[in-house]
Amino acid sequence: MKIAVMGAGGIGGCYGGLLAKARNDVTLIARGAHLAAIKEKGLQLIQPEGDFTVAVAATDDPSQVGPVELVIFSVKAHQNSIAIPLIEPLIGEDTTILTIQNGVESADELGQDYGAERVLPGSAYLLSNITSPGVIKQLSLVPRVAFGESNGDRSQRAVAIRDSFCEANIEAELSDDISKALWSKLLYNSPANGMASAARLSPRDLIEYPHGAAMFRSAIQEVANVGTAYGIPFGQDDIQRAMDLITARPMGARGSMQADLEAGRPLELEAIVGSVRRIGRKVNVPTPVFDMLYTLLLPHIDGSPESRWTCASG
Amino acid sequence: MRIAIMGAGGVGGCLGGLLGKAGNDVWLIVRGEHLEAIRANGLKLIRPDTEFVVQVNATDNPAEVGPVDLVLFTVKTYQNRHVITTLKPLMGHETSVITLQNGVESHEQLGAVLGPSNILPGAYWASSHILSPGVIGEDVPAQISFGEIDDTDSLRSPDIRKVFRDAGIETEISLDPLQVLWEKFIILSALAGITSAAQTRPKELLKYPDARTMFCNAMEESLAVGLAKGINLPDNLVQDSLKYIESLPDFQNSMHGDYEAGRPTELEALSGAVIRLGKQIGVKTPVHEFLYSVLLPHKDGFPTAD
Repeated sequence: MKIAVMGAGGIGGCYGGLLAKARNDVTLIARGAHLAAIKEKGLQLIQPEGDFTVAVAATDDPSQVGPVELVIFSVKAHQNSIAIPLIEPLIGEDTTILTIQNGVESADELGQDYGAERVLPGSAYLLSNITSPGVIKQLSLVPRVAFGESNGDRSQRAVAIRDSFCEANIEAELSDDISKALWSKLLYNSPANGMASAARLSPRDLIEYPHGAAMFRSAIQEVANVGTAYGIPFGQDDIQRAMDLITARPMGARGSMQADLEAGRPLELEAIVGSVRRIGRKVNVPTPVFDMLYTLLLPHIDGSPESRWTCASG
Repeated sequence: MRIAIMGAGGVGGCLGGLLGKAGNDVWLIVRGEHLEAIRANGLKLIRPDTEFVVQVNATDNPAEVGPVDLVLFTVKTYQNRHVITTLKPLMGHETSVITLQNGVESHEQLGAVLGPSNILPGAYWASSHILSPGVIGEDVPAQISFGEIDDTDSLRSPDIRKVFRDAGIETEISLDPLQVLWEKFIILSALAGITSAAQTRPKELLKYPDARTMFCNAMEESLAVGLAKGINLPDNLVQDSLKYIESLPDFQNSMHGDYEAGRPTELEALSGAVIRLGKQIGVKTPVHEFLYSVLLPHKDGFPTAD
């Protein structure tokens, strides 16, 4: 399959490397030192059970790639306003865009530019980081992904993409209710990332404190209330499952937004925290905890307010 | 006047230096390097317009001091549990203790051990820090307000005020010191909690309308707790306090500084107290509960998981 990965960071790079290793025609779209290292030495993927290096095409210019069968859209959500127009040269008549970004609004944003029928909403279940240029470390035992047509159909293209992923040793699941899947991730991911960022402490370490656990539960309840009013019903068992998922994380494993915050990088605040509050307002559901998380983190959305002047290039 | 200062950090050290220079018999009760340096070289005070060295007594053992006329209690609140009982050797028949701490609970905590009638609740406004062992820098001259808990005319307060004023410390006797303490507490608990959790200075944060709302919500909560406890507080306190915060020059709140540096924080005396007192009296405090939940892991300094 001819595949372009827009945003070959921890998540996109991991899937891209595995798909390239399985002999798909993969091009990674990346920038800077990471791009230079991949071009020179290939992409190195460190997995829990061994590592490998794969020679894979890479560029910062999508027009050099031309139309592909599949675009995996995996840039950080705060880059969408720049990244979405950039992928235009990749889009041909039969191109599918699989978005695996955080949040629940990504498919709509891509659909506005390229047509909703072209977009396959998906969700990544994977802890993975760039450790140095050209080197990606996969922390989760198995890289997982779920996606599906918005209408729940088991389409030919979705099945074909699923098969390509599975052949590349990525655990890919076709979802017949992808909205529910995206919201179910939001249910734990937004509280985990939001609270961990505000507390500067990993979600698992924070939930060990009774006050932290109580606040996690309030935050999860807020997402559940918003989702339910929005048409994605959640019950008490879903809330408990979200609590259990946070409790099951490794000690010290930071949320991605917490890591960005502590490094002074821009934050996916709108997709992860802002979305809950924004959709809550639309459906008239109060979100006091998310309002506070948003308020406290907003000064850091474009990077640390202290260092904004000295490292504007990020 | 024979004066012991328990906790000669930024505020206590500054007051001790000024009172010592004015000829009072001052004892600083301190520990470690700071104690060594004061014993060896005296206490150096660097003020915006002047600097001087004053020879004052210093010890880490209150029993060495014996009874005094006045104790200034200026340790950080998280040390109270260990420090209050060590004051006993300083107490004579007519010893007064002025508490100069953040929060609103110090006078009760000290009163329970040393007798409520000996305690004068006080509040200070200052910006001073230990620059190096034995050296205190004062950016903003200290102002002090204190008074009797039962708002009676007191014979001792004017004497104490005279000693302070003679030392060049701006001092006021309050007929309602708890009101003064609470007015400061309402502002400080919001400022400390919000700027620490946001890790941003007030000036930066107040650019955002949502942050101004959160400041107001936090202050409304502690105001409601204070009113429910019968503290005499003005109705327009929150709006006036927000204007006051906005009028301040760019600065970093001290708890935010402690948090950032990985030092213990006064969280229990601030958001912790709002929550605790609110529970006692049936007032909900969701903003401070939220702040407490994210700041608690850092209360004793860097969490071990870091």
